[in-house]
Amino acid sequence: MTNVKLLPRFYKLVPFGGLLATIIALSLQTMSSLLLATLIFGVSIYFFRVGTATIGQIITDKDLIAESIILGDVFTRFVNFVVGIGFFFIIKFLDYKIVVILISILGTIGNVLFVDQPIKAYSDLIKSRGSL
Amino acid sequence: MASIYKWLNNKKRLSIYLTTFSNFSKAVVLYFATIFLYKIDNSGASSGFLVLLGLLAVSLSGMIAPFLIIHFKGFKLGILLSMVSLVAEFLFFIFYQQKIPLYCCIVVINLIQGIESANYNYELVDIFENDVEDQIQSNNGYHILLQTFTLIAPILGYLLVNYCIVLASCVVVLFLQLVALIAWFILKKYEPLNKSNVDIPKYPFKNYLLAIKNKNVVFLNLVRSANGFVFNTWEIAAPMVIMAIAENQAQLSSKIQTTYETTLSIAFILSGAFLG
Repeated sequence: MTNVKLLPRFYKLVPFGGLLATIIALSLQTMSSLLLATLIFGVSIYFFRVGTATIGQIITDKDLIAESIILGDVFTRFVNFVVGIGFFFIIKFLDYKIVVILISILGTIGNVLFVDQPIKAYSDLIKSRGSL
Repeated sequence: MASIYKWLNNKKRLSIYLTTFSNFSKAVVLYFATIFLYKIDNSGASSGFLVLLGLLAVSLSGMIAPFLIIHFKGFKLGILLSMVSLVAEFLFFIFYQQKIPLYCCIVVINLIQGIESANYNYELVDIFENDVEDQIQSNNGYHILLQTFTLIAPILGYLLVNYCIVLASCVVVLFLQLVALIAWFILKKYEPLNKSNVDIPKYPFKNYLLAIKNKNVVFLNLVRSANGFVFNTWEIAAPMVIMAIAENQAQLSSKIQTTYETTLSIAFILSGAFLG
């Protein structure tokens, strides 16, 4: 079972893992660097998916959970689709490696700015319940 | 052995887990498409474009999903989506050699996958209404199982693309989808009774407005988007990196793609086993 108390700490580190893996894979472009980067990605994606699902279900009111999950999916995917379209446009003018790293840095900064609010709400709810 | 028997004997949880076969079959189809596109575009951009189409389709599915979930009440929707998936996957194997029909099939398959994902989250909350611990455990198990299939899908896809005829691939994919369909039929028995009395809201967007006003939900979605920048951009660029490592050889790139996908899944599963 996912450790409910340690989860927020790992969740905060998720984009840094992704950024590190991106830099390793793009800068070296060898089979071994790709595998190392992929391992780091795998761990980061695990905490991203399980963390989002767990934190999302805990902090959302029961009556709104379906709507918030669906809204989250629409919003997140659409924003990333727009970024993806932008990516294909920009790589016509810039090297794709530079573009990938720049977008990853942007994502990491965004995570640092926004992650405290949901994690605080999650930790408060876990504390108020005592234990699950 | 006793714990495995106990796990298998929990039909409710087992059925939930078996619905992941639907994702498994779709993962094989997506992998099949990725490898096929490596053969016709040696820059890797066409394969990367599939990731982008996936994002668009899942985004669209979020707009359609609420309407479908309200009108088909979840469990019926699971059955319906599995049936539509069977047809879409069958059509994919008929038209896969033409680029535009291939992209269209991939959009439809991703669209269904997005609705299934929303539907799964909706049903799980209802089934484990008063048992948060069971809910979290099932959630964890469901995601690990999904990733396990993501681990097997590239290997299966690679074998199917390189060593089998398309007919065999089609049969394997449709069989997996059929298992998911049967699982949804079993799962329907556990549908909470009070769900059938749910009224269709007069103003369907009222709850969405309430969700938007929830500060925690808004910030969590901003975090998801920010993390998505990191992960999705990498996923789009990965085929280009793989092609660069393979020095534009389609056969070698398909091997590297398989290794990459498998390693990613192993890392995910090990994280769940040791760090979770």
